Amino acid sequence: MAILFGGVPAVAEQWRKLMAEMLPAMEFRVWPEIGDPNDIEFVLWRHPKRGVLATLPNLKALFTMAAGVDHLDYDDIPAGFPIVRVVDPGMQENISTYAITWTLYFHRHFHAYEEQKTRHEWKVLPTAIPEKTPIGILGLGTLGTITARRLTAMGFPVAGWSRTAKTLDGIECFHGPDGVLPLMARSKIVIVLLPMTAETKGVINAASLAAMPEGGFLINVARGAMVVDDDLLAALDKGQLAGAALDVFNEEPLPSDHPFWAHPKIRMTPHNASGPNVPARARQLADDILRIQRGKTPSQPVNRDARY
Amino acid sequence: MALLFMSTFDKSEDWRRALTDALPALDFRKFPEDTGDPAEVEFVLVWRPKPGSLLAYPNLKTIFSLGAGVDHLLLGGGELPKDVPIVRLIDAALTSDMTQYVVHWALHFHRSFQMYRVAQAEARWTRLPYPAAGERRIGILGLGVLGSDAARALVAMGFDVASWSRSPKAIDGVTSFHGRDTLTKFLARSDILICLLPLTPDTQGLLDSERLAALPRGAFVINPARGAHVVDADLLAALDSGQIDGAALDVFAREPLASEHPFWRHPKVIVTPHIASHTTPRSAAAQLAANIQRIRRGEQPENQVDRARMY
Repeated sequence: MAILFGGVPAVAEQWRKLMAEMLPAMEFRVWPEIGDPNDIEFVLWRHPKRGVLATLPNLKALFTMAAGVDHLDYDDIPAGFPIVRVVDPGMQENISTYAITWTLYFHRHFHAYEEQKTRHEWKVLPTAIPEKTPIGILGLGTLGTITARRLTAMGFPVAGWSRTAKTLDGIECFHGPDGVLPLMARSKIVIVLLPMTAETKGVINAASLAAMPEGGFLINVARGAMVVDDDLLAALDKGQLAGAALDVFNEEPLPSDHPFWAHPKIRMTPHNASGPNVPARARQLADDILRIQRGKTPSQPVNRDARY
Repeated sequence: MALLFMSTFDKSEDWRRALTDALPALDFRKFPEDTGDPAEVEFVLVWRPKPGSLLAYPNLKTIFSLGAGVDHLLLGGGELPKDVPIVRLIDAALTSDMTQYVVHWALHFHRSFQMYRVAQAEARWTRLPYPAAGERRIGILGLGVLGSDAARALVAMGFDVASWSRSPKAIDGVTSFHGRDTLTKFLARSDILICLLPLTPDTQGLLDSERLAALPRGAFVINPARGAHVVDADLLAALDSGQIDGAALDVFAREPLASEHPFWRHPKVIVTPHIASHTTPRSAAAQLAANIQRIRRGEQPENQVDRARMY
């Protein structure tokens, strides 16, 4: 029984060591050293090379290392075949903390004080009151829900949007295509935590930005393709939006001549809201392999039709 | 018996409304025009009184500070009536605002947002590694109401939190250092240092070159307490040498911060204009009213200051 690892060789050894401790009965092979393809039961590979999976007759599941699964070549993965995300609780914590940090930054006018500092201006801005700063979260999966609960605990009125209807205590829930604009309309700060699908691509566009109350903020920690860059720039330039914090972009690394870099109202981080925590991921992988071996559902299965 | 409102900084009408809503029978008077007979003044609600001016009220029962800090009375207030209790203003909104401020800047520095700002200005895409929260050591100077609340919030986020205070404290998940002789050891394990001390003769100028040098190299400082806790020139030197990699300052020895002060120009300093927490009449009135009622019943008010300790 073997796991095939396809990924950055620099981390392969770290994984090998951890798997040896956690699942000593399984062999750990690093692509292209497949050995006998019949041995491979599990593949751990963020983005498997096309054609490889078809050569593994005893493959039980594909583990992909990412929260998002839009990068996969679904047609390359045998039908009916479990795909499992490897995420670690630390990642969820990191991403929601990232979103919360920028929420506090904009809520407390720190972007404005930063600008005032360039002019040596001491000017007290209106007191920021959480109860008067409604937050809208696009996406109520694990990340959206965790973030929503943490912000509610800080006194912010939080609403969320999901594809299908949900009920969450203390959080106003919108859903479906008709729910996006109403969610935007009641949100001073919008946080994007959606999975990337055909429906969510370009969800942040001129219309949805125009629906927001003037002077709001956007925090995108999901996928760059959810934002129509030109529409975002236009909204910032005319003051419809007062600021945006972006961790993801339509092209990564973002080319140095892209207008986002120099925009005074944009705060950029290089797709780093959560860094990889290999030991935590290894733990989750080992647990999920054991679950699958016992006929149970893994913790983060991917719905192939929904693509998330 | 009257409550005299004395402040050129705060809006008396907001306080009048909030307090008379909570205590309809309260005789609220605005200094100086409504003072009337000084012998009728039972309480003062005050910010930065003229030194010695509170001696004019022979029947004064309690001095209520219009803020959490009382250094404006005990360090700058001149002679005060003896034996009159001084009470700080602490309410839930003030505390949660302060914690929010402190938590934000701790996270901001922990996740290197200030470095990404610099990278962005250079159109540079560079991912910076960061430790797990549990490997980031936060040190909180002062573990009163404000320090404790901030400590709890940071512990809940998984940080390795220690505190330094005059007397021993026990908060779940916080390593407590106390007493002057443990200060250096405490500083040595503070990657992010947060100052939430009261300003007293003992704490004035605490953050000088010696203390800043005791921090791990590349540490961060967050000061929403009092400007006088910091020796400005020493902090600037530490920032220039890289001993300190960033400072978020909400308070200054003189406020408003003079436009020629070097803090404004320093790329590693964040300046906010004394807004880390605020007092709103509405949120404070309930606590003030409750204290007035306690005093009238002959009970001890909450948040009374120890005048010998000066906090």
